[in-house]
Amino acid sequence: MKADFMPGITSVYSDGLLLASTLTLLQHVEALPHGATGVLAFGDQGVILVEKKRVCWAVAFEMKQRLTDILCEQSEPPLLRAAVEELYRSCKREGTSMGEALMTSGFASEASLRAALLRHTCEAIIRLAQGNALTPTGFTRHEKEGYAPRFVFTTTELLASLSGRRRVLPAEQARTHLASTLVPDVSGFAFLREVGGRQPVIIAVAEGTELGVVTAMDIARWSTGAFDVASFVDPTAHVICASCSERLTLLAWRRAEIHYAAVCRTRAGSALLLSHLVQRSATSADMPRGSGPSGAAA
Amino acid sequence: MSDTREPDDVSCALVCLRRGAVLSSHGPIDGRLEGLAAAASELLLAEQGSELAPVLASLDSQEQAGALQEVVVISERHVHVVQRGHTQPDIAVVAVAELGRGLGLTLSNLRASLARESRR
Repeated sequence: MKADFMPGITSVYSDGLLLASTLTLLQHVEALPHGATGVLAFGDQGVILVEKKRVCWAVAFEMKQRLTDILCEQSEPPLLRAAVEELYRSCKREGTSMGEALMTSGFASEASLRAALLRHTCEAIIRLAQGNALTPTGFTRHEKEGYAPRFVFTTTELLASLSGRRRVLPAEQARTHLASTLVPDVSGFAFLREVGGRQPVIIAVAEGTELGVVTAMDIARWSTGAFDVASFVDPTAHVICASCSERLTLLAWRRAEIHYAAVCRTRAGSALLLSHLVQRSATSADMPRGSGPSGAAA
Repeated sequence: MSDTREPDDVSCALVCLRRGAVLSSHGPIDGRLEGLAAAASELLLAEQGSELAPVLASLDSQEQAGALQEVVVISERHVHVVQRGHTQPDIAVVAVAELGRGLGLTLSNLRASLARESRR
């Protein structure tokens, strides 16, 4: 049986202070001017490399674990450290991309490289947050954009990864649900309401979702508030759909302990998602009480 | 010729958002409709809308979305709709129906009832 915990990295789950520090740090990334690409420095503690409000790479100078360590650790069978380090030296000599070399040499698949980069970046960000390196000391712009889009991370994705490592099972469940439920033109994420906690804890983000962490947290707070009110009208309320304009709709739903929120940018997207949710709730066993509505078709 | 009657399973009402009180109604006023009327202001974020307004505006700058216009709450057996009044900001229309005949038809009936209620 899988453990509901992934060792090897600190989680912000159940740690309100660390969550707040991490949010502060990620908000600095989002606060950069639109399209800014470069290095956000935190004095002698570390740096975050940013491209258009996404994080490409982060380093905390006190970090003990390097990307090579993570790659060797997560590979099965384990990679030989000497071989990876030789590849690194070769890339440095020839000025080629280490990521591409890792994949073409067969040392890492695209998915495993992305997972390793995400873990390294999360580890660095949590170290910066723990060390109270919360205020940038400078931003150096890069003239060129050079990071592969498949290896950069949104701030919400990083936060979800940092929280989801403590709650692996619901995070996996949420990712699967989002992947099978969301429709085109819809962004979405999942979060938990920690008992006694003031902040929602984002644990999963749907692929392609471009929401920043501040926006996602605001939407999660709206969702929790709306469900509190809706439960007063009917305790079995499980889907809330809020239209804001001709096209923009917010959708919130819950399945057992996991809450979901989505931003729909077209009428068709919101209608389709709403229909999916009601159809699924008719057959789902984990809705809040009862067996679901008797029929639905939007 | 337009039919001004409500479908049998639809209850709708005109609501004062400030007081959460039913001003007028068509169909039976039961605890569910009264509860929805009382919750209408909070569901539409009529009082504290400014907190979400910047988020909505950032998500849809073209249309300058800044407030929730309609909220649909779906429960196990019912569909509830709250709509902000188009001309009077303190007024909303609310409606409730059973989900029995499917979401599409139920929402269509509810929205037609809301439109009639707001014209009355």
